[in-house]
Amino acid sequence: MSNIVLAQAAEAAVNINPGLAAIGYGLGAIGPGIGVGLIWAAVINGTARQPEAQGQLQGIAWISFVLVEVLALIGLVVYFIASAGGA
Amino acid sequence: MDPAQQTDTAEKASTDPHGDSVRRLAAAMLRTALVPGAVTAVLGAIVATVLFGVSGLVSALIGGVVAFGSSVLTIWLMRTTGGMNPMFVMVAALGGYIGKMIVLLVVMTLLGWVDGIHREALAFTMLATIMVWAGAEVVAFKRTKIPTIVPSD
Repeated sequence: MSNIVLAQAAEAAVNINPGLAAIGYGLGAIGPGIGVGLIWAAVINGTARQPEAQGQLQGIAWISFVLVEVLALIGLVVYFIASAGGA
Repeated sequence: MDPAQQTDTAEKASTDPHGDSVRRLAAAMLRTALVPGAVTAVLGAIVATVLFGVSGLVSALIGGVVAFGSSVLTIWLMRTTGGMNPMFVMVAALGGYIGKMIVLLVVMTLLGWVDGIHREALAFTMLATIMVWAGAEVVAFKRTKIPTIVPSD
């Protein structure tokens, strides 16, 4: 009897995988967001102190931006795999 | 290129040396990353075809295209904002980051609902392409000499 009840409960259970994956992705996107902000804040500071280095600083900032963005994209890929149906 | 255009380009380069150096770096990054990125996407497609068949091939190609689009968008953003005030570049970079993440989230969610898509083939091809592309961009950055501009006056 209890097995039947458990089986019915399992059938009725909602698959929470996609929701959890989306929350995980959202949390994973925060870190790179902060990183991008810090990178450009440093560029603004650096340019204010030494305007002639603006081109060089922006070059360094863009390559750091690319690397930080890869972290967010890894989070996106993990979200895509984890959001698959099935418990 | 006609002489008037050449003069115009030279004038622009001299009046916007910072933007010029950023755009030159963007061009070098694109040039260096294009071939390794394409090779990785093709390799991913071949491996996915061997392992998962036609659905693997299609999924891997979609993954490669999404990775390419995502990476090229960053280069485009870099070229567009080259030479702008760093405060505007920060706004553009953060806006671009948020916009790209939202678009990719929507695209990936929609792809997840499509029948016949092989998730692992798509995800791992996309991941490999993105990482190889980023690595190639770092190599391009290391090779490119970015000058520190000393104003003439």
